Amino acid sequence: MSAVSETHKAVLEARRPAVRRRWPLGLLLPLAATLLYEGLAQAGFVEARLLPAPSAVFAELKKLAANGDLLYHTTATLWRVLSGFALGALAGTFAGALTGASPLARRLLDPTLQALRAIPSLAWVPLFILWLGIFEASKVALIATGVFFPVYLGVMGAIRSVDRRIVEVGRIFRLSRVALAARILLPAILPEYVIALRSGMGLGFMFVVAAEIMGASEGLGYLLVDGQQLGKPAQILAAIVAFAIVGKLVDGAMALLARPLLAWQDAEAANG
Amino acid sequence: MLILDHVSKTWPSGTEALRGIDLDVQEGEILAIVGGSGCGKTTLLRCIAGLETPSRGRVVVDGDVIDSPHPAVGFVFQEPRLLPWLTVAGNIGFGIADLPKAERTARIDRMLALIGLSGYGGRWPKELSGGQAQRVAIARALIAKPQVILFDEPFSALDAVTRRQLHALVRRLRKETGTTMIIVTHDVDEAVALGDRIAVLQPHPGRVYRLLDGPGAKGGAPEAVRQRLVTALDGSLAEGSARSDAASSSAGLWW
Ligand SMILES: Nc1ncnc2c1ncn2[C@@H]1O[C@H](COP(=O)(O)OP(=O)(O)OP(=O)(O)O)[C@@H](O)[C@H]1O
Ligand SMILES: [Mg+2]
Repeated sequence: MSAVSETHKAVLEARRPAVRRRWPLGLLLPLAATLLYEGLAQAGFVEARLLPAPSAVFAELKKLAANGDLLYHTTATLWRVLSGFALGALAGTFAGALTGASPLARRLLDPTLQALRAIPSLAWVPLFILWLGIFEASKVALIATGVFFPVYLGVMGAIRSVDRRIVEVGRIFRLSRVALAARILLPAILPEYVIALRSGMGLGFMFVVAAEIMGASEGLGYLLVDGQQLGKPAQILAAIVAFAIVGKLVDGAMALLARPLLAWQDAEAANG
Repeated sequence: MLILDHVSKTWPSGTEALRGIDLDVQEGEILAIVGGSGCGKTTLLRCIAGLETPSRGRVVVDGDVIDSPHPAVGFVFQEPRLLPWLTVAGNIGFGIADLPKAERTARIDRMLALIGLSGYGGRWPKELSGGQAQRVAIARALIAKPQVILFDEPFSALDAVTRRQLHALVRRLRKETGTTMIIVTHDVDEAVALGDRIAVLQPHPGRVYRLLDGPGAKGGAPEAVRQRLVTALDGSLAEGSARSDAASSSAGLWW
């Protein structure tokens, strides 16, 4: 056998270059629409007072960025989303793991949780405000509620669908319960878990808008309300664009973080 | 080495899968187990592996009564059951995770060479053919140095050519490691190719119908063994259907 360990060498060789960079075709449509709209607006076909041209929105964004408002409001929103996400995802993971792993816990808890899920989450708003006040706590609670359910359902479903035959491999090697969870269950559910967390984050952004519209003195949602009250559609659109960019960036970051853990999924299957 | 002492298994559903199986497996021997579908072959292997507990009787490996999975007993399933998130090397080394890294790596490399997959250590299971994946599964069982490896129809999903290659591999592994093996199969030729002895089970409930010698000094030429095996198998099936007509049991519906 060679001096260099065979496995090590193989691992080095096996890491293929990341997927080839291709032109992001998905950008084509929004770009074209923006240009078209800009053209129509310049030509005076649309009422710029209600639907400002992309250039005006862009100028507004630049202004907000320059005077520091953009960073300030984005940070406030992000902080709320991330706090709510942390709480909701943590609770959802625990509850999902419990009901996924234990039929008893599932019979006990799942019907209640499913019933709660059927309530439109915004219906909780008045109650949360009553309990937690109008400041941060009620907003974070609302976001956490939104994040909880997709994570809960994702984790429970993923654990329930883990192939029992693979769990048996762990039994043959006499893994302890903890080792079984860490070395078999966790990696087995990871792909679905990442998807659950990402959709949880998506709901987090949905609910932060609601939370900030219902009353906030900072955050991108505040910019929306402020723009409406002051009749500044460019500011509203600028905030919407900022929401889109931040949401996409956060989702992309999550996907990127998970990627090395899920590298095995990218491999091509051998001869079908 | 491995003693089956009157092993019986009745499932909670009432199906009597095994009744009074007595077998004495010699060290370094390959015992092939043949029998019709539903006659309890898988159940028997799972009892030996400690994945199921016999209702009566006991399994003794090297002096230990088996009541849960035991380090001396390895298992190769019908499907490779590789963990898709581990590389080939990671899968092979799965059962020896607590060894020092250097030794673990050395053992994995030796296994890769032994199964003819040197250089495949960094591949993902998805990137293997069925035969390669089953080789990896065999290496994963072998690397923990069990005294017995149990195979449950390990090659039934493979084509005839690959199967012959894996028969040669199994014989070579036995020769090089001296590991005792019990191989359940549906395939008469496989039993003749691999078995030092061949146990024929009869169904409803599963019992040993005949215990034949494989090809060699006692069993004679492969063709003669094959002939005896086919005769015994036919006899066991006739026996089984006579019984199941009488009992009209609900068995056989599980798969
Ligand atoms: N988990 C189980 N619960 C209840 N009955 C079972 C279970 N597993 C197997 N059986 C029954 O036990 C009997 C033996 O089944 P077993 O799977 O051991 O047969 P086998 O010889 O391996 O069959 P095959 O050749 O089709 O794999 C069958 O009647 C089957 O229905
Ligand atoms: Mg079987």
